[in-house]
Amino acid sequence: MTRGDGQNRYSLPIRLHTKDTLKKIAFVVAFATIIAAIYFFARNNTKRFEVVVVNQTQQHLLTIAKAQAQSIKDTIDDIRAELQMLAENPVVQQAIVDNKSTENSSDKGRCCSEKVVFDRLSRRSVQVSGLYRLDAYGIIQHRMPFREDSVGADFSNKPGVKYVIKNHRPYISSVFKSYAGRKSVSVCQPVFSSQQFIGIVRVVIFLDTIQNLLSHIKVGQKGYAWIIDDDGIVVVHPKPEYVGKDAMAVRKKAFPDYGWSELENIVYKMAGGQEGVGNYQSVWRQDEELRPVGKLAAFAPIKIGNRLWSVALVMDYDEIADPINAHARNIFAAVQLLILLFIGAGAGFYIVYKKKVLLEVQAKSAERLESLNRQLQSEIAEHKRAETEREALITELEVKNAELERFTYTVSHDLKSPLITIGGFLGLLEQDVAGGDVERVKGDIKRIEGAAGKMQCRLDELLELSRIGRLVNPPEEVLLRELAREAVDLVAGRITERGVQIEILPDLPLIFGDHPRLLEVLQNLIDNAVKFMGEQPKPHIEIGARQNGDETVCYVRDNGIGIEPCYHDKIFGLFNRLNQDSEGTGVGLALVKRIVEVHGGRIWVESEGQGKGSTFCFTICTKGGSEKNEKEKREREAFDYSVG
Amino acid sequence: MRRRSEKEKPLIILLVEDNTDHAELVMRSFENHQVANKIYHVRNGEAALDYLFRRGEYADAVDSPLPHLVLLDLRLAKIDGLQVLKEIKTSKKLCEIPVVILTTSEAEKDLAKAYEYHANSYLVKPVNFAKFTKMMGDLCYYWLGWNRHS
Repeated sequence: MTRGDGQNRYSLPIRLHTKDTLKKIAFVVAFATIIAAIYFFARNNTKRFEVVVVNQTQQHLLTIAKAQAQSIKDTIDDIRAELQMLAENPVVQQAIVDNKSTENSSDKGRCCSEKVVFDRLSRRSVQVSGLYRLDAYGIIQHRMPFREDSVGADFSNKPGVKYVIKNHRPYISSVFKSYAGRKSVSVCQPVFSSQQFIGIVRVVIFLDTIQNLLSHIKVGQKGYAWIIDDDGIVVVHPKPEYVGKDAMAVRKKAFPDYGWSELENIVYKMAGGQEGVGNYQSVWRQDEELRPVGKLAAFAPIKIGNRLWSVALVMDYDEIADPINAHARNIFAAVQLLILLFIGAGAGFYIVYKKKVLLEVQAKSAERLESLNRQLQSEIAEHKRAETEREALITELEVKNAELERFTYTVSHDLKSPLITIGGFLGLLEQDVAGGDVERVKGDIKRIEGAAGKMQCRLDELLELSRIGRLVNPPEEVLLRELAREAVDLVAGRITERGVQIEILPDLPLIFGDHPRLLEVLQNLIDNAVKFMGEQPKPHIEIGARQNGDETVCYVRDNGIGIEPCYHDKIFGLFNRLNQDSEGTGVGLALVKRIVEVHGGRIWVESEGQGKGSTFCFTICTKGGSEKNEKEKREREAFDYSVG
Repeated sequence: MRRRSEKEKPLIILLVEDNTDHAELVMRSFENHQVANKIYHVRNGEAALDYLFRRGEYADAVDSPLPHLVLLDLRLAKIDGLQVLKEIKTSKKLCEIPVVILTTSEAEKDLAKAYEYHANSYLVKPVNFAKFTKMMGDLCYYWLGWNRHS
């Protein structure tokens, strides 16, 4: 791999990580943008809506203001009409001329009309405090309800009276404080008799009753109405202390730090007799704290005689804006919540999806890993098995090699031995012949013959041994009992000679193999047993079989000389003899071992030692047994001994 | 020929050989060289050790005197020659006795083992009698003549 490849490979996760972070940032930015857009849209919309509602409200307020203006104008005009009627009443004119001020029966007729008018006016919602009759100089002649102390009082300087005396025209005064301390205006009507000014009829109207009338108008929670006159003097206001004062001056005095230009503009328009709408900023004192309050206003003029009043309806701007804003806020919050929910759900789905994908990938990886693991395990197991097999083969091969080595060693020694004898005695023979020693010559020849015979014998045995692995008769079922009888027959001579008692146990199994070879095995073992009986007075041989797990173990047991445990392996070696004087060449047991092994069995000897007898055991397969194993084994053996 | 043994008591050889023919060949070879020695012959490893350690029938020191030389065959019944050699050379009493291996085996393994167990010499029996008898002669001259032993 090149260096560049390596870097790419290692930078990949970092790049992925950056990509993830970028994604997150992009997501947050997108979210924030959407929220901001919604916010601005909602805000804009709300503002527009607010403007519309404000406009409508203002128009509504204006309508009410106009209605109220009309109503107040009507009321005041009614009062003026009453006064005019009274002024035109001849009885009243006569009374002024006569200056009748007492409340006596003769005046009843004159007073009657005044009383009727007063009663009528008193029943109105706009209260009048008194009805006055004054002479041309402003002196009170009569007052309804009657008050003794009033008669004769000079009212010529009272607001309105002065104007009427001078101008002989009806007049509505500006605001003043009546004797009862209530803010009032007066309406004066000149009385003429034959075109000549003779006196005045006058009523005083309590402004708080107009206030009461206006207080019924409900515009919002905090809305109210107020009236100013053309001088900017407050005529009606919910705050009684404002009444009779300059509308602007009183505010500027109370809250000098506030800008009142908007209100000033409105007041200017009102005083000018205009109708219209407007907004202004006011201030509200609440718990020693000044709070700016936005106001909505609609104003309409009231033209009554010489006077111009203007009624204004005012309500808090917030009363309209607050619900709208609250509504907008709620909607905005709801939208935000919805978006959040949507995002949350989206994120949830995304996470679930991601997790699902991840899990699937993991599951797939796990599955793949598991399968790989299984594969690996099976490979390892296979490897181990092969290794074990190999090791077993190596061990087997080593054993075989060692055996082969021993074999060649033995063969070379045992074949060389007679050669040396022959060579040696030939030399000696020459000597002895020269010396003329006949006896020695005979002995030498005998030795040479013996050695030659021994050599012949060895060669025959070797040939026989090498055949075992190669020449195989077809395997067949053989009754072990029958086989034992045959073997005993073959060794019968020696058995009889030594007087050995042979016992073949009943119920011997059916074994499977090369009949002649198996016979050879038993024959050799029986022969050996007879051979090594020693001095046993009651020689006995038992031929039997036992089941050892899956194996059938056949045995030949004798009560002969026995074998020391240290020789138990050695006796099966080629040409190994424990006793150099004994008969045989030491090939018998080697041969037996070969045959048993070729049949896939094992052979061993059990003996507790000298004089304790021996039992030669071998395993052999019973009917139908591991034929395949046998075949394999045989093939291997064939290879081994073709070398030997 | 200078023979120290002539004026002294005869030198004793223990021949360990299972093959009687070979034993006779050895003994007649010695006869040929007229070496006045006393040869004791045992036929297996067990008997050799019994003799040397004076056990059993060889317990009598007069009948079975310790040899001045052991001629040892390797292929023996019961206890083989190498085992006998090992026993001799690990015995404090016997280790000084020269042991000459006299065998048919030319196997490298046997040679190496023999020297590993401190054999003093390793001779392979020749098939030719003249060589055989010459070898026996030289053996006598060397070990019983030239060689000094305690």
